[in-house]
Amino acid sequence: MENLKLFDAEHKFMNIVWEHEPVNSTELSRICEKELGWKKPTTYSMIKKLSERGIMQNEKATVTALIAREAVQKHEANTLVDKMFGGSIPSFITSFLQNKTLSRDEAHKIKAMIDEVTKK
Amino acid sequence: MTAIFITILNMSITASIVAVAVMLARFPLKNAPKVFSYALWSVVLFRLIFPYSIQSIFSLMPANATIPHEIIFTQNQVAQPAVQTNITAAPLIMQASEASIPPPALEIAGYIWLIGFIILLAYAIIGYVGLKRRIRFATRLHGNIFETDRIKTPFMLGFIRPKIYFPTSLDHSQHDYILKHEQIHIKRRDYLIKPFAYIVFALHWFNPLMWAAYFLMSRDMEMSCDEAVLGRMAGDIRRDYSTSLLRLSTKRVSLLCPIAFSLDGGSVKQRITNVLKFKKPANWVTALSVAVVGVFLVGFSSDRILAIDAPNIGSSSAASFNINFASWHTDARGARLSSPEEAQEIGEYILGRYFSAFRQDWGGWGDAPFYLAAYFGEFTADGNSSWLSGRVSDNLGDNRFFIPAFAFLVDAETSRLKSAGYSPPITDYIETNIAPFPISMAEAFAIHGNRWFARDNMPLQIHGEYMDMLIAFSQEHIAEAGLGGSGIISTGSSVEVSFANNFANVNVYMSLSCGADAMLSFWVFDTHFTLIGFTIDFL
Repeated sequence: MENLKLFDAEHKFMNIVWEHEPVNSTELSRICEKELGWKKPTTYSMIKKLSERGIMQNEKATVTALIAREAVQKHEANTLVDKMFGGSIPSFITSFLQNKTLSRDEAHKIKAMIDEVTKK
Repeated sequence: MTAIFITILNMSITASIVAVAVMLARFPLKNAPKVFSYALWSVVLFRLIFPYSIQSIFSLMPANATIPHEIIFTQNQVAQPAVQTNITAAPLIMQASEASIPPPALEIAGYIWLIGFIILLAYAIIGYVGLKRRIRFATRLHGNIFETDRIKTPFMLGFIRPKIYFPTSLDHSQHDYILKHEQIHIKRRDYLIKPFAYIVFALHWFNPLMWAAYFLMSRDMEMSCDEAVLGRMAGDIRRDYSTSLLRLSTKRVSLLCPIAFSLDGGSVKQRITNVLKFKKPANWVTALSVAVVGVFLVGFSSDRILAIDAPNIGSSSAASFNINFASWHTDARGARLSSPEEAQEIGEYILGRYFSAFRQDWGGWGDAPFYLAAYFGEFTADGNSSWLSGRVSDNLGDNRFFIPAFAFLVDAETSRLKSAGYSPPITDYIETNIAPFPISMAEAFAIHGNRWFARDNMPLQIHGEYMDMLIAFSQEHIAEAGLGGSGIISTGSSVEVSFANNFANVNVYMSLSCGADAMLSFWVFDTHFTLIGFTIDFL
C-alpha cells in the first residue's frame, strides 16, 4: 500500500483530477496552470508519473483516476495514526479533540461510525 | 592557456590587495549598515574580471603590484604577457619569439587552473539542475511564491523571474519575514549578482583569499538584506525575525547549490547578532560610511597614473597595440649625464643588454639646445631578420640629459610589429628641474622628426597611388585630431610625415611612415617630454 503515499504536489494534483474527472488532458493542464502555477510539461510529466504508478490513467487524452479519493484518505489517516500515535486510535482521537469542539450532530455521527465498525 | 592564466593571476593579485583592504575597511564599518560593507566587494569583483588597468590620480593601489603584462595585441585579442621577476633589473621588455614560449610549469598550471574552474562550474550546474528537479512539482501559493514538500528550507531560485520556494512543513506565520527578505534580494538583483560572483570567484579558485572574500561578501549581502527588512517593517520585529532565522537554521539541509538563496545556517549566528543590535543608523554614520565607500570605490578601482592613452586614431588599422607602462623601471644607473658621449654610452648599454647583436647607426647631435639621437639596428635571430630601432637621449638645455629609449622588433617577412619596448628617463631631472621645456615640440620635430623611422633598411617599399592615399589619410587624421602640422619629408623610397602639437598637459606627436608597411603612430609626452604613451597602427 506504500504505493498510495502521495507527495504534497501529487495530492494537490489528484484533488484536481478527482474533482474534474473524466477530464481532457489539455483541460487538465489548463486547470493546473491556474491552480498550481504549472506549465504544460509539468502537468504532463505528473500525469505520466502517476499513470506509471497506477494511480490514474490517460486514455485517448482523457484522464481518470484509478484510485478513489477515499482510499488515499484512508491510507493517509492510517499512516498518520501509525506514525504519530503508535497505531492507537483513541490517543489519536484524544489529541484531535483537544483543540476542537464537536457539535452534537458531529458527535452522533462519529459514534454511529464507531458502532458500525465494532459490530463487524 | 598560459596567457589567459597569467591574466587571471594578475587580476587575482590586484584583487587580493583590494580584498585585504576591504577586509580592513569592514572594521570601521562594523557598526555601520552592512550595505556599505557589501558595496565594497564590488571593487574586488571588478578587479577580478577587469584585466585592464585604469589609471587615475586618486588611486590608492600600491604601484607595480602586478606581474607585468606589457604587450597586448588587440589585433587578435590575445594577450602576450611576460612574467618578470626582477622588475628593476629589466628596463626594457622585448618579447622576441623565443621569450614568448611559456615555461612548461606555467603551462601545466594553466591547465590545472582550467580543470579546477570547470569542476566548480559543473558542481554549480549539477547542483542547480538537481535542485530544479526537486522542485519541479512545486505548487503556486500566489505570485512567484511556490511551496513543495521536497525541501526543508525556503530559498529563491531563478535568473529571469526568480521564484521563492517554501517547504510545506513551514508554518505560514513564518512566511512573512522570509518573503520580505527574499523580495529585497529580488529588488537588489542579488539573484543575478550571486551566481555571477560565484563564476568570478570560481575563476580565482586557487586563491584562498578569494574564497574568504566570497564567503564574507555573501554574508554581507544577507546581513544588509536583513537590515533592509528590519528597516522597512513597522515596529520592532528584531525578536521575531531572529527567531525565524534560528528556527530555519535548525532545519538546515544541505542545499548544495551555490546559486540558490537559502537561509543557510552557516552564518546564522552572526546574522542573529547583527539583527539583534540593529538600529536605524544615525545620519552621521551613514554619511561617514558613504564617504569611506566612495573613497574606496574610486581609490581601488584604478591604478596609479603612469600612462595615458594616446588619441584613438580610428578603426581602419589592420593591427594596433597599446603598451602599458605601469611597471617599467629604469636602471638605477646614471642620474645626471654630462655629455652626449655619456648618453650614447647609456643608450648602447640599454640596447645592448637586450640584443646580443645589433648594428648601430648614430643619428648625430644637432646644434639646437634640444638634442635627439637615434639608433637604428638590425637584429637577426635564427635566420629571421628583424628590424630594431632605438632612440636615446635628449638634452634639456644645460647639459642635463634624459634617456628614453625604445625599440621595435619588426618581423621582416610581414613587416608586422612583433613587440616594442620603452624605458622611461634615466635621470632625476624631474625632481631637479621644473623649468619649462626650452623649445616647442613642433620646433623639435621640425628639426628631428625625419630621424624617427625613415631608414633604408625598411624591408618593403611603397610607391605611387598607395603612398598618396596614405598621405591623404594621415592628413585627414591630423585635421581630426586638431594637430598642428610640421612637414612631409620624402626620401624617395619612403615617406615620413611628422606632426606635433602642444596641448595643455601633454604633447602629442604623430608620425606617419610609409617606407614599408605604413605605420601611423601617435606619441604622447608629458610637459617634461617624458614619453607617457604611444600607439602604432599599421595601415
